[in-house]
Amino acid sequence: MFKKQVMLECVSALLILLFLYASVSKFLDFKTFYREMNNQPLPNSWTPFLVWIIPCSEILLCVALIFERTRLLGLYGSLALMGLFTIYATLILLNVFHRVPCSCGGVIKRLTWPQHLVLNLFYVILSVVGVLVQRSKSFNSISFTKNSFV
Amino acid sequence: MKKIKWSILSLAVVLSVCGAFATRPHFDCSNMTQYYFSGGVYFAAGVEGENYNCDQGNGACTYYTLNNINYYTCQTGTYCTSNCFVRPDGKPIKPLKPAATPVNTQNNAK
Repeated sequence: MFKKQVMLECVSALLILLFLYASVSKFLDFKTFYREMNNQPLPNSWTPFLVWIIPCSEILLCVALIFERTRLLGLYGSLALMGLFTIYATLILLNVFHRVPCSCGGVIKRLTWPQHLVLNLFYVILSVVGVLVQRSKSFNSISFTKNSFV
Repeated sequence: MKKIKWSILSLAVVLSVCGAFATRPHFDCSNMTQYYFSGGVYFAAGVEGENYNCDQGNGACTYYTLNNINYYTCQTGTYCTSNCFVRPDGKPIKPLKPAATPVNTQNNAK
């Protein structure tokens, strides 16, 4: 139980490290982030929404991951967000958009798209592990509570 | 357990916020007028996403200047306008309008 809890804290910490770093970097250099969003092969009309939705959802996920009550929700959210980023990186590499834009965001912008994909896959796996551990932990605590009543 | 939890999480929060501040660009050339280099001439590039795009590549995509004499690389990548939105069938998806006023004919990019 103790090992599982420490593992869960480490998974949450790694996800918080990524999301908080990425969101704060975006807000610190908002103009560049806006410009880089325009450079992505998505409709430019989406940019005013995406520049707020992406960093704000990253911060919300960090808050959800910190507290025990909302952690499972945060882990599912992280899985969804990292899954979306992974699908996007895969589509870029498969040349679905017919052009490869620059990869952007803080120090992460120095990564190439294949490196991006590997990083995203690592975080997808980390989120899956987090969800499984959290679920098993919740299940154990529920069964423990039920047994204690019997 | 609570002590371990809060130590790990606060370390992650502090590291990420400090890391973001530490890696923030101190001089942001992208706020300056962007130029592209074509045939020995510098042209004002206009607005990224509207007039041009920078695709992945190792070369200089756009340049900036402080004195209209020396031009320095700002964004890396490959400068493109309508040619970056060409489908395999040759039909443009989203043609962009490049700014076409020559600015400096000297080839003194750094």
